[in-house]
Amino acid sequence: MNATRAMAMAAILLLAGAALAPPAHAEETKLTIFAAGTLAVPFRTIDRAFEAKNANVAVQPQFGGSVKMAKQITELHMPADILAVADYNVIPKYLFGANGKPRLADWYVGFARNAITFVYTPKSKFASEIDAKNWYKILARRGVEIGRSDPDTDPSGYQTVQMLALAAKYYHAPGLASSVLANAPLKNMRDTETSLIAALQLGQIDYLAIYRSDALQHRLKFLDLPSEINLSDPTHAAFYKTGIAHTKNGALEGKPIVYALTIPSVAPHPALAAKYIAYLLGPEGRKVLAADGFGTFEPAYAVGTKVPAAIHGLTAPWPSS
Amino acid sequence: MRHDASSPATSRGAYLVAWLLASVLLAFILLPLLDLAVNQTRAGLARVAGSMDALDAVRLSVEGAGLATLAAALFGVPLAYGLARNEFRAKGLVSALVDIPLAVPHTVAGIALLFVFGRQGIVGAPASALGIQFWGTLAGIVVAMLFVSVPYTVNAARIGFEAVDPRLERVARTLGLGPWAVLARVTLPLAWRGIMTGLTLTFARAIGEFGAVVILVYYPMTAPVKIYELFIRYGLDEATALSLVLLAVSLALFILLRYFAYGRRRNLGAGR
Repeated sequence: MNATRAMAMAAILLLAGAALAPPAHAEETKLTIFAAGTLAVPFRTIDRAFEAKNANVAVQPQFGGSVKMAKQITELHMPADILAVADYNVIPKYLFGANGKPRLADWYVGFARNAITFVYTPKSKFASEIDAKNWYKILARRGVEIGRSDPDTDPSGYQTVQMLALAAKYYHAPGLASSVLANAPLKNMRDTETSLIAALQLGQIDYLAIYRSDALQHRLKFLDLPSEINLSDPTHAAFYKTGIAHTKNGALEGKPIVYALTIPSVAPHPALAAKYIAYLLGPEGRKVLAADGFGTFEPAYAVGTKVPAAIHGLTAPWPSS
Repeated sequence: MRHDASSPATSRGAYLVAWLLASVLLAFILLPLLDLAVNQTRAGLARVAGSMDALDAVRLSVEGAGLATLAAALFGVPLAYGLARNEFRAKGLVSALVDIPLAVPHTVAGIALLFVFGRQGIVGAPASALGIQFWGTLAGIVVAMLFVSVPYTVNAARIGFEAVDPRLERVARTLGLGPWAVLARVTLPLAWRGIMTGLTLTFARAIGEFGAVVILVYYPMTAPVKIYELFIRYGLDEATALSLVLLAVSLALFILLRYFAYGRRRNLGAGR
């Protein structure tokens, strides 16, 4: 191929590429959200609805373990407009300037509730036998494989351990926690619980400790555990405190599972972020969350004094336990 | 025939351009790594270097990658020889199949392997009757590492074998060597560099794999998994400290493997 031909070909390819390239979205504002993995399904629905109501806005969510998402902001300095976590404690722990780290947020709002449960499939061992009364005896049987996430790195991991400690008290069965955890050894543990859903569906594990919202979203059978132990109800907060998880990060007291969010100080578009949160906390957002298996608060609970004006009207102060 | 820089066939200009582009590439590789090293605190490095957990993770990674490389040699090299020497209708398909693991997203590869090697998998179920498990074991680590890295061995070894003139093999036969002796004394020495390049790449790819490994095995932790855990539990400093340890160990092993490939066998190359 001679030089002229080669140049002609290059020119044609370039023009074709330019013509086929998607139109430049010069006016579009990108809203970046870092959210816990279990929020993926409702947030995607809410994102699309928000984009439909707001022209020239592209919502770009990223999902993963809550601690990982927080650290992407604090350690990797990635810019995010909103951080939404599965355990409200993650925000003050990492973003409020503890241990000499920079303060990257001043407030947070609790916007959804969840419950810890065990999910299973028809293939799971003793699936036809298990129910909300005998579950702790069945899960302790030999040969049952239980999966859970790492309590040292993930909220649902330590919440599972707390729930089992509470169950031991609730059912007056002192050995309950250790006998169930014996079937959830290190080899069945992953960094975050959503990694184990494939393992459950493929029959590698029989039961998986995960949130009720995931059970409903993935259409998995789940156990309806009493609200006294499943960390779903803030009115039981005093009892929850007695369920302790001993982790490499210290002894963690049980707390109700409340999803919280904030706008970090490094947010590129704080006003737009506030608008999104207002939508999320409003009736349409709550409807989507409820449909996907989350409990909601009306009004949402706020901690901190610098809650943006657009959101403030939708919140009430966090009730002290 | 040797080509050197002063040969009239090579213009100075072209040589300089080549070196410029090469330097850009080397800088592209070195800069992020140097940045990592320079920003590392001594305290973080000391903490990680003294941690048994962290060093165990590195040891496990080297062990897993080593076994995966041996498996790649055992199964991949014969396949490469078959592809180099034979013509058959499905050859194009087989070659493409060998390359597929490179295109599969790592998490998907992990899940696919779990499907086969898991408790109820077509290989995993009979294997567990024999006492072999892949979930949360070294065997699982090796399987995940092997899947993503074996294409490098097959492709490089195949090129190595293709460069060996089949007539040399036939001549050796006429001189009285049996087929296995021909393989050992003629073919393999000549294809050695290609094979070793492939095995080195396989080792390199295996030792760094995260996505596929973590589906099958989180505990015991390989180095990439431990690095991720350190990031979540502590922060960037601890994670980069272990990354640098892993890089240093990997670099040392690559240099060793390259010496093994090129150092002793230089005089057996086809006239080069």
